[in-house]
Amino acid sequence: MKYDIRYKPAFATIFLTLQPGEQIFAEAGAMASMSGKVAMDTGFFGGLIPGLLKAFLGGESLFLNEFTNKTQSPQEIVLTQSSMGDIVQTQLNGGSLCLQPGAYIAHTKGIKVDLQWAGFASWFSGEGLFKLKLSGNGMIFFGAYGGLSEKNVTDSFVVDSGHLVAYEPGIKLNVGLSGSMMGSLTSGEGFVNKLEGSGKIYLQSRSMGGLVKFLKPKL
Amino acid sequence: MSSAIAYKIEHSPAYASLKLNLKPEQSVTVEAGAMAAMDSCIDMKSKVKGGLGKGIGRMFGGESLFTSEFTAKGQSGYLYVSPGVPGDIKHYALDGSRSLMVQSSGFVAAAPGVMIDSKFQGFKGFFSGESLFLLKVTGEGDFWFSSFGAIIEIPVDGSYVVDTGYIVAFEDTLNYKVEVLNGLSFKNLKTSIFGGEGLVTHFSGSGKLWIQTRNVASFVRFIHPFRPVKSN
Amino acid sequence: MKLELLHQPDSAVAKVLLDPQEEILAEAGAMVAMSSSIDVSTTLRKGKGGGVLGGLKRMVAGESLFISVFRSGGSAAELYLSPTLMGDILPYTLSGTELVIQSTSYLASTPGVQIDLGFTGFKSLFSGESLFWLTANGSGLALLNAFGSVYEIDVDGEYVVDTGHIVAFERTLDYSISKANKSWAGAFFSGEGFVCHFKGKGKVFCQTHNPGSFGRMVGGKLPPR
Repeated sequence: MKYDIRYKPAFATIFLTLQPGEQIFAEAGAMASMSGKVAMDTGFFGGLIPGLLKAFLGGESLFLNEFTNKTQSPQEIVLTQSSMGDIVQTQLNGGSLCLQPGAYIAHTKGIKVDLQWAGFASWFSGEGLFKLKLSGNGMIFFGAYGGLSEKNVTDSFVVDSGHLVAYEPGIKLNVGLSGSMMGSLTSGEGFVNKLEGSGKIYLQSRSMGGLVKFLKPKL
Repeated sequence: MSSAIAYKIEHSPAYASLKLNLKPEQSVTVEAGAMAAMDSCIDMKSKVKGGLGKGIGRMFGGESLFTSEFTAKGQSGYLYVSPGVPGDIKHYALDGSRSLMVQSSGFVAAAPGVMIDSKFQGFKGFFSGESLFLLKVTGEGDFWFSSFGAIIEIPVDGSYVVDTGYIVAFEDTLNYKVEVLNGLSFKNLKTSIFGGEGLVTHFSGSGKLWIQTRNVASFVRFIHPFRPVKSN
Repeated sequence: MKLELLHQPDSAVAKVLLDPQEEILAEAGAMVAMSSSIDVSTTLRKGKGGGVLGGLKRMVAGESLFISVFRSGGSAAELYLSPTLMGDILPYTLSGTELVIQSTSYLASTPGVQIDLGFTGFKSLFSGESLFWLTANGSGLALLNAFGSVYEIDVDGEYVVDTGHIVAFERTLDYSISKANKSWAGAFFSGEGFVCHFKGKGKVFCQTHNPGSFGRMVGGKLPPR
């Protein structure tokens, strides 16, 4: 499978070439355009989950599309995300990565996708009740609203909720108010996430919360 | 006089993010809610710039004057600041010789020696989405402002016309006048579409002007049909 | 006329340098800044047949096209034009082939290009897209804008594009709209909605991002209207 992530970081888009017999799984709506000969099938994310829970997923639809090249020659497909922003490809070799809702775009066979309970604290801070955990062997593509930066956390680090995109399982999240209750409300910082542990994290340079806060007084 | 704050602007120009490297006990004032991430040695205090009276009720045009003051305690630390909309960030060093007029939602961060005053322009309410509040920035020190879209610097020498929604900042050595440019206005075409008032700012004199390549009012109009509808 | 495109592809802006007594047409509201010597007038472009577009009664943003005409005076002048959404600008030179343009992708054109509304090749199947299509004919330059970056596909055979991602296409192509999946359930759940199958030979210009998806994503988080 050949891939090329173009137009980084503003409008990162994945240009993929599927070899004969190859396939890729992508979130609903990710296909922008593709050669007329690619076959598309729809399936469900990790098991059957009642439709009502979809509302709590905050950005991750339950449905996955499977794109397969059933022909004898390479075929092209262009995948993108709903929000404008950066996309990162990473290879998992037995390890795992946790993704915030909305960040997931696509993965190859060999990767297992699981919905995990993220805890009420996570829900309070606007990050949803669930998070996605991807593990196994293969490629994954995830994106963000804004530019993506990678950072290695060694001890502790504070992140504003909404800017954390992905993190390795060795990182523990502690969601809380940034200062005293009053301080948080007036400062607008609201909820912050104090990360502890060591591992890689990915931050996005914009947040939906920030965009909404900017637009509200102008409506 | 405070020493300059070390900084780096990343992901410019689409999603510029300001990375500040604070020395021990060094402080910086940042727009409320703009902190994206920081080292845990950095302490945050909520402040109202310009005194309590001026802060309350100042919710016009996207710039509440609530700011946060971040200080590195005991050691140096990094602070990542992100504006709300996609766009760029520019640094300006105030040296006391002139003031900078900045569009109301453009404030990102300022060093302690910089003073920010909100200066009402008189045309509020004309546009849905773009009130014409300008911030007057004076003093000495580092200042950072942001835009919606990319920033183009225009050295004005003579006269120039800019649609008010695209103004980011300008030096106060320039004279400015807000007026309606008839040919741009389509109000008289009997439509009920938002906008189209044709308000422009006429600049004259000599000085630097920064314009942005996108406009919030148009974006608000675009988003409008996607908003949930109020149910009765 | 000289054209310079700045800040591609994130936040492209067109810097137009007009010779004396030159004219350019642009979507009303596209003007960012200009020399004070430029004269502007704005008119409402009507649909085919000269009568007022039926859609005018509804006045939903995007269903009618307000065009501003910018004319320089006795000396050269400059003009900056910007679209509404973040993204790139694509210049297309017309010389014979008709170009079908998605309405929100039209930014500007030179006077020799004839812009017409009322292309009825695609009926309104797009729930929530409120797209309509323009046709451009004649000769000259058309400036198109995209939400995201623009990529060009030289179709020679068969190509499929999600309808929210089409910027423009050459009329030499055959096109048909269908649901992405064979079954209706599949189409609903797949989130792909409607796709356009292009066949034959010709160029399709696609945008990397879908304004409808982004609009829904952000709009859904805003207070109700």
